[in-house]
Amino acid sequence: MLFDEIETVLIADPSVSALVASNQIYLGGAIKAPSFPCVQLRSTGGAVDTVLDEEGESGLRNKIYQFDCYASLESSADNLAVACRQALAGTHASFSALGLSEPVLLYEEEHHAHRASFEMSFWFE
Amino acid sequence: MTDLKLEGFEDLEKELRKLGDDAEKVLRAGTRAGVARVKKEAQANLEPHVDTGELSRSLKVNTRINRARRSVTATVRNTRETFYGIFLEFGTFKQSPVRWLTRALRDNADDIFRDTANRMRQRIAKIKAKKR
Repeated sequence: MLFDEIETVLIADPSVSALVASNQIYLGGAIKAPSFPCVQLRSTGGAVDTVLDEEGESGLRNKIYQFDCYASLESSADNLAVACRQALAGTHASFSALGLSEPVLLYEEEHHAHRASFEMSFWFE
Repeated sequence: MTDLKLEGFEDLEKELRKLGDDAEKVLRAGTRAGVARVKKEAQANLEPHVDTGELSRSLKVNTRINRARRSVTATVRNTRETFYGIFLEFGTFKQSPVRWLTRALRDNADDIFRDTANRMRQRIAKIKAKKR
């Protein structure tokens, strides 16, 4: 599964693992009892460009994730976002990743947490 | 902010160079037409999330010419009153991101290019006809 591979790449990257614990990377909706720093991935788009023939389905799939990097300080959230982006863009995994936007800095009032959000596009078979 | 840089308009560029001062009008009209498409698509993306419709109605297209940098910029933006548009765009801790504005640009790049180029060609033809 793509998320598992993304998670593996992020955990294995020393810059990312120095900023976020390995059990603090989540996929999907609201996180119960959140603690910071953490990274949340949410799907924001994608496409299927596959061909179905006698040998089955082949071709590339695309998924776009929004990465929300949370931390108690704005600079920490931003640093975490930059580290995640660099780790994924430069990886030799079963997917190729392309950063679509620079991190946007936001603030989560309810949790008193800063957030740096960016989108990445993933192509995989 | 999401940017889309228009390139590959070599034929239009040649025409624009011949127009002199009128080139500015053509560029402004073209970029405005492209961004008007972004606005329309953004409003369509907002439709499933409409409450009062205020955000959708607040979207405005602006164009700005920077003569020093020889560039024309067109933007679509909401008003301060509809600040909550950002929460829909990027989501919140609990709410999923809709990306209504980013997708309007990303998913319609071909149409945006076409609308821009078509409007520029129309304006060039109009200016040429006037000069005859």
